[in-house]
Amino acid sequence: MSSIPKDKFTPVPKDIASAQKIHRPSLSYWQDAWRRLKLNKVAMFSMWFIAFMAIVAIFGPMLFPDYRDNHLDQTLLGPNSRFWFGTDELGRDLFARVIRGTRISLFIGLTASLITTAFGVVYGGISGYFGGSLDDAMMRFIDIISTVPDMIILILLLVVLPQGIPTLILAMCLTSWSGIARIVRGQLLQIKEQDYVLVARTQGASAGRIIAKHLIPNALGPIIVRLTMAVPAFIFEEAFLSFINLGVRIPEASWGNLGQSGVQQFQQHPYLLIFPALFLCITTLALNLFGDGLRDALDPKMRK
Amino acid sequence: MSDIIEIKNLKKYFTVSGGRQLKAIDDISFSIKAGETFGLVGESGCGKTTAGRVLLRLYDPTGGQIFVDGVDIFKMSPTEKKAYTRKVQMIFQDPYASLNPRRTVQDSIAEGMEIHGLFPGAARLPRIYELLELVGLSKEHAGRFPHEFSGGQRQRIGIARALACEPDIIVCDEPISALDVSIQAQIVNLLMKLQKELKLTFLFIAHDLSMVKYISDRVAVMYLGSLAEIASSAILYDEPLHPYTISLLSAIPIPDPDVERSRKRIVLKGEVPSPINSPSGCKFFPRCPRAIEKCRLDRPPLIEVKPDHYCACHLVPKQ
Repeated sequence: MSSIPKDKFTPVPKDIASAQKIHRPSLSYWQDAWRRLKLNKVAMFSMWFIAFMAIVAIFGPMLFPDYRDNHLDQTLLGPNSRFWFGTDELGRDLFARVIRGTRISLFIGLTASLITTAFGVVYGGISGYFGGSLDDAMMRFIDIISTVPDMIILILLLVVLPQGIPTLILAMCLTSWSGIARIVRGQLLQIKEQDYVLVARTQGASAGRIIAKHLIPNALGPIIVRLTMAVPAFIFEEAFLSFINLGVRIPEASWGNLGQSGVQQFQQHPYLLIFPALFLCITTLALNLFGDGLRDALDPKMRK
Repeated sequence: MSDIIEIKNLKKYFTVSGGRQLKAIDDISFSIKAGETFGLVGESGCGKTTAGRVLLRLYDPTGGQIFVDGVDIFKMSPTEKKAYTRKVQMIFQDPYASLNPRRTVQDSIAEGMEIHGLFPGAARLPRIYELLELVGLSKEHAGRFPHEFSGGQRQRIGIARALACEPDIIVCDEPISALDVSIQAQIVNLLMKLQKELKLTFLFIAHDLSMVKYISDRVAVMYLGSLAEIASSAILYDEPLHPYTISLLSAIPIPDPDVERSRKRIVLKGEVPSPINSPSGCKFFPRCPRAIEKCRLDRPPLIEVKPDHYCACHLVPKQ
């Protein structure tokens, strides 16, 4: 040990400024989440697939507008070069109908999710931010309406109110906003006790400032994940309601009612069920996988 | 030196389930002189953090008054309240929770200035850089996010944020207990340097007795919501009077192996009673090695037993 002569050592200059230096590039929360999302192959593939389906939903019906036209001389044809997915019992082009159904189903899923989220955020936000007896009352109200099975409310509303897509969306929103409201309330209850919110309060920040600068930005991650996961759930719910003839009415097309008509002729003409079902399944799968990926990317506990 | 903070008969009770009352602060009175560091020590749950938060007006008290610069802080007009939120700032225990993870360092530091309209426009950014350099960071850190910093660096950011409002008083709620020992020394030295340069008054809440002795001018010992003893830190550590203080001080390790070996710890029996059901009489009597019958019946008042040395114990008479 003592064999190393002292003059072999030279002092390392102490450089405090460089010790405090950070070499990693600065990333905001959203940049960091995007970086992690990009590493997730499945989620990225799902995202591009959803983008493609969105383009189909927007522009497809413009290119194939004849989803309601009957070709009574060409009923129940299998897939062929003129009708790519075949025709149904009234000679309607199934491809045009599936494309139209994509627009209707995605529109319903997206609109219902946005409305539920907006309402849930406001309701849960008020309940969580103000707390106390207001919070108690608002949460008990949710508990009470949760005791009534959703399906009963849904079916009653759809039977009583005039038929149509707005009614369908309204009925689905009325039965599903409580989940997001609970999540937002839970988030706010947790965030508003954080030290940085206390600092803002001791510095004299107004309630509006605390909500806008501290509470909402920190609660946004779980809300977006929830929003993404709600879209496939609503598409599925629409399909189910159309399947029991409470949803979208023919001649309008949605994946649900196309599947419903397909089932009746499944044994003779399976393609009538297979094509809409395929669209429905792959899209909801992609949405779910994307939602999973997004949750992993936005959850700081998953940070590596 | 004149008193900048005067706390009179402060009480803060929380109502817990079953309508029972948790007496977090049970009638405490003390004053803090301008420019001094006043240490407040005690074990977990003794009400020291609550005291700091009442001073910051995060909680409304159940009773009593606090005068800051002669003004009752619970009877202020909205304009006075706003000015008060500039004058009194806080540094928190957990440097990981005290910075908003979605905002850059610069946004966090600027928040107080934005609220109070200090250094408007082009003057703000240079001021933020100046504050960062004051606490030993550099201006390259301004655009970074909290997760990119270590605990000690974050605590420095928290200090810069508190200084941004140009306060007179800073409540330090265990500012070092979440840090490594080597970093603790850096932060404490930084606080002492800033106090000297900026003429600040500190209420320093902690449970680390040796650190409190190092930083504080005067120290108050709290037990179960009440004050046991107040004295200047040198006197309190050399000649403690209250049995609770004596047993607390006996728990400090001494950095000398020979003395340390002969050190005798006074180990208290039992647990700290719950502040929901605090004992009648002296709160410390169930655990006090010297308790007498009177301790069970009467609560001893905090009296000045020697000049500037206050103690609440029946066995310590006025000298």
